[in-house]
Amino acid sequence: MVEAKNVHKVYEIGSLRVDALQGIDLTIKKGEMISVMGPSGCGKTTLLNCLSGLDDLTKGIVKIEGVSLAEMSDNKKTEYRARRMGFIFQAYNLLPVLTAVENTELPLLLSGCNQKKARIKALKVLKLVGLEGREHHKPAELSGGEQQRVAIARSLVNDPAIVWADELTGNLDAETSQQIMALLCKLNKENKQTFVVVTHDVSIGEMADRVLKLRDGVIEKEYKPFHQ
Amino acid sequence: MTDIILPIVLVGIIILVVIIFGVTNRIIFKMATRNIKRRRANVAIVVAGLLVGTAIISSSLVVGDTMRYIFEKDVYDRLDLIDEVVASHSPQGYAYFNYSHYTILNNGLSAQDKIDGISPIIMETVPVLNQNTSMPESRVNIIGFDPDIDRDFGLFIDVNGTSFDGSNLYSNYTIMNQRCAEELEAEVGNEVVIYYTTYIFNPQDPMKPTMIHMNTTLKILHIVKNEGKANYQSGMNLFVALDAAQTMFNKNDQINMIKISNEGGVEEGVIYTDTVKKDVEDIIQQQELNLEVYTVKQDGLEDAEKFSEMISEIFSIMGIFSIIAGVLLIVNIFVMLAEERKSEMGIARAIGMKRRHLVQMFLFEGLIYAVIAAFIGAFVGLGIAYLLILAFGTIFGGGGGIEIPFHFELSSIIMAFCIGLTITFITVFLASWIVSKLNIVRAIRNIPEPSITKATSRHIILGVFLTIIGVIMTHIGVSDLSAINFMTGPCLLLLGAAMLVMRIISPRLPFSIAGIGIIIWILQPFELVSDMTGGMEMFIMSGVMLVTGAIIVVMFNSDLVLRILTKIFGRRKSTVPILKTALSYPMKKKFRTGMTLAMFSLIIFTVAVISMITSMQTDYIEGAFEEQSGGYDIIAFTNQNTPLIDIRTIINNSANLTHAFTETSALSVAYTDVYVYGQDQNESVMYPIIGVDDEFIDQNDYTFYSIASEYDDHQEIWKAVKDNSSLVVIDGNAVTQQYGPHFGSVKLSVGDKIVVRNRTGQYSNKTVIGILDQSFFFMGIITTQEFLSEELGIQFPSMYLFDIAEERDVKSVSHELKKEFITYGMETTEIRDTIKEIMKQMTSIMTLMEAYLGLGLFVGIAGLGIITLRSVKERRQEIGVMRAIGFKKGMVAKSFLIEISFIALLGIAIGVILGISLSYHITNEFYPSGVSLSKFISLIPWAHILIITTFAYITTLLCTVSSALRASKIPPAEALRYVG
Repeated sequence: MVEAKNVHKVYEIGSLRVDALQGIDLTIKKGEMISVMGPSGCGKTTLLNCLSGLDDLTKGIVKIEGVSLAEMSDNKKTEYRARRMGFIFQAYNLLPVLTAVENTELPLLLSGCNQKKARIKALKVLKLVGLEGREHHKPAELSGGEQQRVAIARSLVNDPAIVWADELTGNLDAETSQQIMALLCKLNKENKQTFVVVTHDVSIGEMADRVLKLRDGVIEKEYKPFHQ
Repeated sequence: MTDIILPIVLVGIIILVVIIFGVTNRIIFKMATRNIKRRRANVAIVVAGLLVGTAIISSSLVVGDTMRYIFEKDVYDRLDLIDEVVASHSPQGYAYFNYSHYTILNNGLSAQDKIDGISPIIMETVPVLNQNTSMPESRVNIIGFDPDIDRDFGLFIDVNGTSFDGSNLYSNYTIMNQRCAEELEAEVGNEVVIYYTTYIFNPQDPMKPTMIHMNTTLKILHIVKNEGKANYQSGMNLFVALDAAQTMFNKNDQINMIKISNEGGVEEGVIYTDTVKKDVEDIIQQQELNLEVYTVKQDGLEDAEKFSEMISEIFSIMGIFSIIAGVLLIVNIFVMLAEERKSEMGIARAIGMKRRHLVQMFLFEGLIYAVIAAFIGAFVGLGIAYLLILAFGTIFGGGGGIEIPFHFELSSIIMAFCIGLTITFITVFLASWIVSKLNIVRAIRNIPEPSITKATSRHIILGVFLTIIGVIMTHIGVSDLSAINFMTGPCLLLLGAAMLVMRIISPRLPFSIAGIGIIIWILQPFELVSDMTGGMEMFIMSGVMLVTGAIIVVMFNSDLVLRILTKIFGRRKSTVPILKTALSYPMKKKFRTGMTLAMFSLIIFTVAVISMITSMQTDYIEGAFEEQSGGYDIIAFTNQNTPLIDIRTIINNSANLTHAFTETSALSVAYTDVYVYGQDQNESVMYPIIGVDDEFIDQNDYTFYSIASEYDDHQEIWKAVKDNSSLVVIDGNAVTQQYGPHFGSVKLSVGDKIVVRNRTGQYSNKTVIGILDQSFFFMGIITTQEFLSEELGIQFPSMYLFDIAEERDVKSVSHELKKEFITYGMETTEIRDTIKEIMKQMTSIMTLMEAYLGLGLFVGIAGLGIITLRSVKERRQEIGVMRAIGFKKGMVAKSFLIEISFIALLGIAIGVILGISLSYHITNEFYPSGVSLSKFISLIPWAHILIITTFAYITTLLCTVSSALRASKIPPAEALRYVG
């Protein structure tokens, strides 16, 4: 599904040079759920951004479904993201002017889906994540957990091949975090979708099939959690 | 109406395209409209800022409408049904020709269905005295007409409203219009005396005809309304029977004008002018008549159009500063909106929204703002124009003011709406394109963009482009002597070079050098552009470039500015943290601060320049007197139909005038076709030729705007004019100003050649060796009296300049002159009083212009208002942190107020300094004798500038203080919780 070879990412801030990723090699299989863990500043989010094509690499190759991201134009990458990827972020990042259902259907509309079909699909996914009855509320009218469920619904609505989740439980309490993660695991199992979850929370990370531990921009350790 | 079709189509296309995008991307359209609802408070400020540009355009167009209406109405009022005039021009006016010419023309045109009237007349302007009231009038038109033929030109209407054709008008009777009757205090039955001089030519010596002074007494039969043909030339008119006029002026069987009315009414007939002119000219040519066709109505309407466009242009050009400020505000608004929604935009891009979708979203939002703003702005402009017209009435109406009819065309309002909307839309598009380019990761995480330390490929492309354009403009400037290109080219060159050098070194040094270089180049003390052609656009370009240079220098050295200000104002320990936070933010947000500073500086710059010029004008009354008077106290003109042969003898024999003058100069005036050598003969204009006598050459003190380099002083210039009839001096109206509009009909520089037509139709070249400063009292090409007499057939003077003896009162002498020379139709003007009045009017116009430009201040204030609103929201969490670590409420409020004050005061300082600096330049351009630096400094209207800038500053504070106070009142915990 995802193949990364010798991925490097360097940030230059004035005269300061930060080697955020230093030669990551990684393969993610279809339907796999992996978590990326590590201390703050180890490069977890940078890895997710580079693998998903949100950020450019300094060096190395990332192929998704056999296609190199470097070979895609910005528009192609955007189209690919709209059709084949889903994103979940720590701060939910919902569009405040749109309701839950409008936020959810947005990726479908952007990839040219018929408005009616998009609405039906969005309502279905919102029901799936347990937000039936809250579809027409704006983000400001929803709790943190509910907002994150909308974000998950939005990431799943276009039946993505892969979902990228960056600290998706970072703003939630332990109980809600567990519920959200359980929901992702359920969807992973039922839909055979690939999930890459970045987290620093061990209890959340170890719910995945495989755990990658990063330190200073390199994969320090890779293991299958105990529940496996 | 055709003028507005293109803008309407353009706006229609814009709206249609956006609607199509909206229909096909409904979700994007929905997001845009909800974004507007989301920040309702901002909408009012945004719209207020955006509408200024449209209001400026609308007001300038409506002022033009009113002017056009007034001038066109004047043409229709004074010509009524007359569309063309057939006459034979001579340097003295219309020459007489045989009545048979009329018959030939009338017969020849009988088949022409586009003509509904053709009438022979005699028209002379003469002095008249009412014998019953002893009231004189020096310029009364005597119109001899044939009532039977002239009926096609309408009827007379007496004061009771009764219409008649004047067929009962016998010899020695006259019909007088009300205007004339009021001046002469005349009533029906009064007797008026008409003074006229006729010549008997001696075949042996045609240059010395015998003059016969004549007078005729006429009894007033009717007094008629100033309407229709009775209002001819909006003059004081006396109508007599044609045969009576022929006898009166000793022109038996002769006339001097044939008037033609085209098919249709007063306003419609002009459409056939070209056809009629051609037909008349064909007959003139076939019959070899020495006549010409004057398309008086068409020419009058064209002049009205030209002049009203010029007035409209002055206002719109002056308004460009406010429009530019408005454009900067739009960019700023959209940059801030983008910053506010940065993470939303990032996530939208992450989940599949393309850059064009973001552009579309801003375009939808921008178009809604633009439509509202352009609509309101167009009507606000209407209000501004009304106030301007009201002010014009007060300025030009003397003490009491005059009522100028306010008039506007709906097409102007539509045009302003379309232009305003288009400018706003294009700016929104460009701003959206800029802000839509973002790094998704940085946007999602709301991380600030890294500062640019090295030129990117875009900078290189832009740098190369600016450098090339700069080189081309400089080259054009030098080769075509175009001041605007010559001044702008090097500025662009400097900016382009700075961008390219940025590839190698840090941008601070090259941009600082470029900024300083631009300021020095624009304010350069060398008179590099003095021989180049420029106009009002120079003022605009100088302002834009100076402000650009200054803002670049300030923003690229912000840390230095910060250090200096902290050092100066941060002496008290308690103020240091407030000052540091207050000054750090604007310097961190360089683009936003730069744009706001530019807005503020530009407007203050223009206001400072105008108030400086106003101050110079007010002070320059003595200088103006010296330049405009030539050392004379009174200028007088006599009627050419009653020439004065020897004024000095009459004065010496007059008890009241004999010792009244220390100098008297008598000058001849003729009117002939003139064009600039090298131009097409068709571009010739009727220009006065003034023949001067020896006394004038020896005694006048007129100052020169410029003289040819081969002459050392004024005496040499006048001597050359006296000795060589191919060398001439011209009045100051021919001067081309580098920073102002040109009102003269010719543009000339010293050394230029002009071509002058003589009375036989032959042309001769004259070289301009001097240009006078004088432009208020007369226009003319100054040569010798011999030239006028030999080449133009003008034997006698009709213009006089008097220097009054010190012990005599100018006003009473002026009165005595009029009285003494009443039969010659003398009109006098007291030079000093007139100069004072003109200067007063000019100062009032500049004050009006200043107020007009001040409208731009609202843009700047709106800009700062928006910034403050945004800053409070943007920094809500930081305010929480500040409060948590010990900032008191008052300190937070102070921090915001200092920040606003910093931007406003820095903008004001830049504007004032640059404005005053450029004023020095402009002042020396306007007044070539120049002013010393110390004198200039003493003329700076500090109090005036202080009042304006204080008003701007206080208004800004008032508009932003509520945001600052609101920020200070946010509870720390709530502020820390805020997530945007």
